[in-house]
Amino acid sequence: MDQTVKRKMHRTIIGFVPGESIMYKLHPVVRLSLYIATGILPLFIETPEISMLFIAIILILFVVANVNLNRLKIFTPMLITVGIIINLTYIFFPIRKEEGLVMFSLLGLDVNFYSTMWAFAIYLRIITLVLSSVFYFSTNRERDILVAMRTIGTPFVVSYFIGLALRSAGIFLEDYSIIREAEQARGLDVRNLSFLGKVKHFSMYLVPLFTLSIRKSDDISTGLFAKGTELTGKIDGVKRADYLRSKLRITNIDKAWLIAIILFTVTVMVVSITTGLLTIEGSWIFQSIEKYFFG
Amino acid sequence: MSTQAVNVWKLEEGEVRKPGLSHFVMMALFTGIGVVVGTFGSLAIPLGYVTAFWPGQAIQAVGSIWYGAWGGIASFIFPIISNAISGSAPLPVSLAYIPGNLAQGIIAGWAFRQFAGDPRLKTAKDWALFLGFAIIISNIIGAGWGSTVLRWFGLIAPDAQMTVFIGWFIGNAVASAILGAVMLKFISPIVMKTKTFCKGYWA
Repeated sequence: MDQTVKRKMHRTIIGFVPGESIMYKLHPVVRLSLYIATGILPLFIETPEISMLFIAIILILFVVANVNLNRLKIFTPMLITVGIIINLTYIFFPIRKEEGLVMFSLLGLDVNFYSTMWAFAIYLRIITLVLSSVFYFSTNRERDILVAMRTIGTPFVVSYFIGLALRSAGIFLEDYSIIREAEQARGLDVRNLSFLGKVKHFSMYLVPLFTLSIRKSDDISTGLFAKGTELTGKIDGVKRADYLRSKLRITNIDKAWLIAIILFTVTVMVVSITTGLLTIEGSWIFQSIEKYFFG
Repeated sequence: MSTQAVNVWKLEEGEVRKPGLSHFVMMALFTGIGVVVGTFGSLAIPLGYVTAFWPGQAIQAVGSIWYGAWGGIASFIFPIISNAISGSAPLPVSLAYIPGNLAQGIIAGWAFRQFAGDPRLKTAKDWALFLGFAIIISNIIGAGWGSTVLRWFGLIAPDAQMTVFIGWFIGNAVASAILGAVMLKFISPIVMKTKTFCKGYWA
């Protein structure tokens, strides 16, 4: 396939999604359930090596789904900061310090073994969650989110509300960039401003931004009223037709994926709750480091 | 010049206000704005599961001052979406945050209506209401609830709860005091002229 076509991206309110992706073969509800599962499962996994496997799988999914990995660069500073802060928190506020397993001292502070391992496990959890979210929003457009919600029986008013909210986030960002470009066109350069100056300047964006939002809210309300939109999702007591859902029908393959995702999630949860297999103490890394430091 | 404070929440004689489609649309738009501001805050200076700079609380508080219960609803919905986009909290944790987020929003709206504060922050009383209820009290409750949720889910060390509480409180309060004050001072005069402005809780 031509690389240009393969790399073609579509703009969404949140970022970009690939023009073509294997994920689009799955019904949006399967993608949503995968996202929910990847958002819940890390809470039941303490073992670092399994978390790392989880991260590796998500990264493979990124490649398979034709998502541009460069998108992850903006999260790098966040992931570094989070790593530092979590480790510092657990150094200053150690857990299970009564066990006395001190690995080494850093500037007069004891670095507790269990705390360090737990900080590592928590950090891996955060990476997993961030990657799962980025993956979901890199392979789903707003309409996919809405179709998924409507398929699982979310009330019309709720899905309509979410649709409007997501659209409004996009409008807000568009308006913001228009105002910023207009200011730049008039010669404004914020790079040399102090932090306080930047804060003050950011505040100045708010007035036109909110004025535009209020005006748009009025326009949308008038438009919906003119169309006779009912938030019940019914027209004369009859459920209104749903074009998007009619275009994206759930297949047997989708159902099989759904069952597999639900079964896998429930199994991991049961294993985590009833056995010690996914605990930090059951980790090979935990045991190896413990053996190295404390014999 | 008259300096007598006007009760902006009092209905004029014969004035009828009813909740309608425009309130629903405004709630959705405000939620969208909250999603953008909240996501930006979550990604800006993250400290683990909390952030050192979360101006989203300004949207929560100001939303409930301007739009009453509609703003209150937006205040607990947009963090679920912005947390999902930024990956800063898993879905079960985001759902558990709901009471705290609701408090971070609705307390300001309640206080301004209860004590007849002016959203344009014209008098010292308005500023006191804003800083006392919209920033300090609401964030104490929100940070207390949020740090407790993180502890329940085992995402923070029990001994670190106070630190997380302080980090959450400062991260929300400082950013929201600045953004919230600017929003109320400069945008309230515009909002108060619109039909979506709520003198009561629903209209």
